Amino acid sequence: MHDKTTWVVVPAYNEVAVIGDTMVGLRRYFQRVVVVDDFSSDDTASAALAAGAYVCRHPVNLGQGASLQTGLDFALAQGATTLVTFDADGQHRPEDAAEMVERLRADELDVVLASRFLGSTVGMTASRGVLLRLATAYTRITTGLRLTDTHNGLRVFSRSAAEGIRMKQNRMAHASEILAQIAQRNLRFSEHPVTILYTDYSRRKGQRMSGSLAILFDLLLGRLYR
Amino acid sequence: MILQVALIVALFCVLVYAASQRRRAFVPSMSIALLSMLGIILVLSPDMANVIAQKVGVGRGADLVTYCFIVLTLVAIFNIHLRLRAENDKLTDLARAIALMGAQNPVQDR
Repeated sequence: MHDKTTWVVVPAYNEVAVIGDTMVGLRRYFQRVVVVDDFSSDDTASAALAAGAYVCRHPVNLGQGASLQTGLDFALAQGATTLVTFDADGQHRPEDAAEMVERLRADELDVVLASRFLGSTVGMTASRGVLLRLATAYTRITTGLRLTDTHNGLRVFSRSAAEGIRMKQNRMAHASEILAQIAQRNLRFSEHPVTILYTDYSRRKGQRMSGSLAILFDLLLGRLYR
Repeated sequence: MILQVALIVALFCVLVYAASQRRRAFVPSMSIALLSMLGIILVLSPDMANVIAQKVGVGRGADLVTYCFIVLTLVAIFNIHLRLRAENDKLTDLARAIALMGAQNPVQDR
């Protein structure tokens, strides 16, 4: 069981069906979890509170990137020394997260990133695999980071690494943005093998092909105007 | 004559405003400023429009002016788009502050 300065950040949008189970899993290893409710139309927030999470609710829907940033800001304000980002939908295994926290400390790293391609997947469709490998190739080219899985929501940050994260990309392009910042700041990082569990539920909510074009557009335009 | 004056005044206003925005968005504002200057020159000397047009391979001076106007408009629209994105960033910061202020503790507290 990790201590009270280790915080898990869970961005959530309309996940009332699964947030309870996700919380049960997380509470076996972590004492401090903050769920960021991105203006859900269902009772995600109350379900999360009842399951033992701290909850921040966005007053308007902003996107997963924005939710992560809000959660990181909250945890840092609470004095977090280690921060974990974790998906609400049950794709991630809490034991993997716990292992990654230990890895961060043991190897004295700034960031630990999860890789399903170093680990394993259960129920991933072929098209999802292709899409992810393409996205990985794009990110390797643009950031220079040699990674095997560039779009995994399970990450562990040290406090100093998290303090420097400033996500401007509200929606799905934040994943590439985080990696670009890791590369820019020369943070010590490592990839850790994890298991990603695809269920009918998470597949339905997952990333569509058209979403990838939108991500690319977001990233390119983001460079133009500051 | 009166149309020329009106056009020059209008283009001059655009030029001054564009130049005033150079700190916020250098490329779009300077592009508009440049095009406005070109517009003023062409209005003052319509013959020059024909000369330039022939040099760049466009039919008539009037066509050249039209093309310039189209480009200017597209750049202006693009600039508005970029401004909207910047506004979105501000909105995010505001929403985040509200979310953090209203943070709730879990039902069972440890």
